[in-house]
Amino acid sequence: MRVRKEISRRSFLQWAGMGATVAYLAACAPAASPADSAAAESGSAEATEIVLTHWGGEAEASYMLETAARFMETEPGIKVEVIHFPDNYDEKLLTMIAGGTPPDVQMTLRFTYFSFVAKGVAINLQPYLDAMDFEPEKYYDVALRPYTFRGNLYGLPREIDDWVVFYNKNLFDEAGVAYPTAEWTWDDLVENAKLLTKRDAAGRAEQFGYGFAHLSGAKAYDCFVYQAGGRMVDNEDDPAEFVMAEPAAIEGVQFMADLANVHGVMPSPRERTDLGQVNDLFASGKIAMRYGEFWSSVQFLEIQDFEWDIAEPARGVNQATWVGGACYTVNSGTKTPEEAVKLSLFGSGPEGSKIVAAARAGVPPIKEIAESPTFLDVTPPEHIEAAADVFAYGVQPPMSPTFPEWFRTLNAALDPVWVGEQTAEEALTKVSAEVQALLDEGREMLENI
Amino acid sequence: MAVRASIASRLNLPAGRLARREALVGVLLVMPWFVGFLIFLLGPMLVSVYLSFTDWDLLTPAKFVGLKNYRKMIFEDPLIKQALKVTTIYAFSAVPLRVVGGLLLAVLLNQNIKLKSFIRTVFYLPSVVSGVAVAMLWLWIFNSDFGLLNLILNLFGIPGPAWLSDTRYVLAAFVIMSLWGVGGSMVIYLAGLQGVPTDLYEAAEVDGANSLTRFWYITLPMISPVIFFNLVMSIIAALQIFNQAYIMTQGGPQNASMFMMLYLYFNAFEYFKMGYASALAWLIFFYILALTLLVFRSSSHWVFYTGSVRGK
Repeated sequence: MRVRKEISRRSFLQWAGMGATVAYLAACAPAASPADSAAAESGSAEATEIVLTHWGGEAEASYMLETAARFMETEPGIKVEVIHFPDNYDEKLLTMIAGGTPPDVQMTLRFTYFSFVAKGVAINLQPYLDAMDFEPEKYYDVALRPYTFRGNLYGLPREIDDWVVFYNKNLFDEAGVAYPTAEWTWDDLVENAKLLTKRDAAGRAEQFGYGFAHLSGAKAYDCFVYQAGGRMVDNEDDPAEFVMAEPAAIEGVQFMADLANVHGVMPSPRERTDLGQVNDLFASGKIAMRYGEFWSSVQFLEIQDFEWDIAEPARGVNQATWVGGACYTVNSGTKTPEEAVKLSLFGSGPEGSKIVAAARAGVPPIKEIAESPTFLDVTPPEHIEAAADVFAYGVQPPMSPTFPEWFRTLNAALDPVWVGEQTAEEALTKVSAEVQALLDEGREMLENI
Repeated sequence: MAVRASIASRLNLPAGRLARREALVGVLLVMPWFVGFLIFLLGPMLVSVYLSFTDWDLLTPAKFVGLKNYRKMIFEDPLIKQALKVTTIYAFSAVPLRVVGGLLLAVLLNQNIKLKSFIRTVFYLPSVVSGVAVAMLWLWIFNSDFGLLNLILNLFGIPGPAWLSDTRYVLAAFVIMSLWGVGGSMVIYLAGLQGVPTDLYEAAEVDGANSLTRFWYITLPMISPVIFFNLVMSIIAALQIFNQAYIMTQGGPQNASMFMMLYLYFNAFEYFKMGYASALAWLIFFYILALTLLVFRSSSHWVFYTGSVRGK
């Protein structure tokens, strides 16, 4: 009957439409389990496969792969699949968990770690660790303390990251100012930072004495609050009350705001509109002292034009600085918890610590590695040991499962303080009740564990 | 044949072999999108209705809490008002600019000028660049000290504001930035402009109508369906603004750029409140639906389709 044999445009589209529909449906069918094919390939039926997720850039991707590869060498019976999400990590991890395909081990940031514990997503590692070759005395105190909840470990640190002062030696020499030391007080800081700040006739800054890496001062203001002798909450390990509206804490926040608005030694929010800018300004020699995470020393290695080093931050009433980092946690959905804990322990232990030290991802959590040439002999910075010296007075974020939410609320309330529209006292008094309500909400969650 | 006929009757297709064939082809062609909608949109939408009545942290099973999320949304959460306010101000400023700006640009580039297609490409190009890259670029344009925008303002002796860190200017910054994508609507207008029959212009010219009159009485009515389409799409896009704010301001300063979608995202993926975020999603949905319906209702007064009488 049909005369025309060639395909008309219409029938082509018609078939293409049907084909696409079928392809759609096929794509929805469950994929063949990769574990089966992997086992078939390697020929060893017992190889257990575990999945590890992490975030970060190229550097993280390469040392996480190295850690996984070394682990598989020592544990031939375990195969590790590393999944790297460069951005929106929390969103992707949560979607994996909600979708019923959780990873076995998830790299977790201090920021969200405690929410994971409170929601029962991160399992108690203690029973497994007790049965393994785990030597807590090899770790720094500050490395394990934040991950200890009711006497049990829920996370194992990958590295310790803390806030130290990076300084440009050339700018100090030029201005005839002595390099910063742990003995510096707030007054020394302000006085010397003034000597290191240069402005043109119109008052526009050409060089700043001091600066932070973060837009709204996140992490930075808690350092100043503790330096001033205040606190964020009554007890960081078991917070019940938000106490930043008390005089010492207010003084700390106000001091930080004044560095920009009164003393003019630090870029104001107007002067630093985007996140990376303070780091860029330091790298281009426009900031003499940059207070920020030790981890970013990696990006300063390429600096050719001047010499730099790190030092401990100045003291107020107290010495204090932020200490954090990332940790391994084991997902409650894992079918192979023992293998997952083994991987976490390996990454956190001496072997993983060596990789972290070589990659300069932070201070290795194992003391003997941090005190060995692997870590200490990398220069610059010449005084790399300062990054471990600050542990003595490290400040840790409060263990509150609602911390991500109330921290954001607090940051929004403090915005007018950084631009000098409100005093620290006004802003903190106003937001106190709202933060307290969120803190209470977090405590209720904990009662159900 | 019998099967076809029964499908045809079930789908309420017109009788007649050719007409049926045509209709069937149509159904087949929309199939991928239709199936995609059923699987990837309708299902999740229905689930989110349920979730909006629960407390769900994504990690532990959802707990039914009745109207709690909606009560919180309406009576207790001060940030909702702020989010609705800034989103609305943004949409009401950005949408007219985009609709009118795109039209003017299209009319200009519809003239016989040199390098026409090159210039059109230049204006369209920004719409192709990915959202994140665009946001990073605008961070520099808006930089208060070294940014391009303030540099130009300085040339005219105007001291530029701190666009992204001043509560008074941050929304303006996003509106300015929204013009970046104006090339997208321009292309659609251009297609519309080329569909206007030239004999109408010729007749009007014979009658002595000048170019402004021709634009007002011929061009505008003839492309009003295109304007309508662009208006609806722009409203929807503007109310869903997210990427730029997420990358550039994170809702700051002082929540002055805390758009609805951004607030939803924070609740869902940072505060572990997926139930509340689902309720927010429905709020946004109905808000967009209401505004869109309003525009649709008004369309009978100003949108003119060839072959029908205006106003009917």
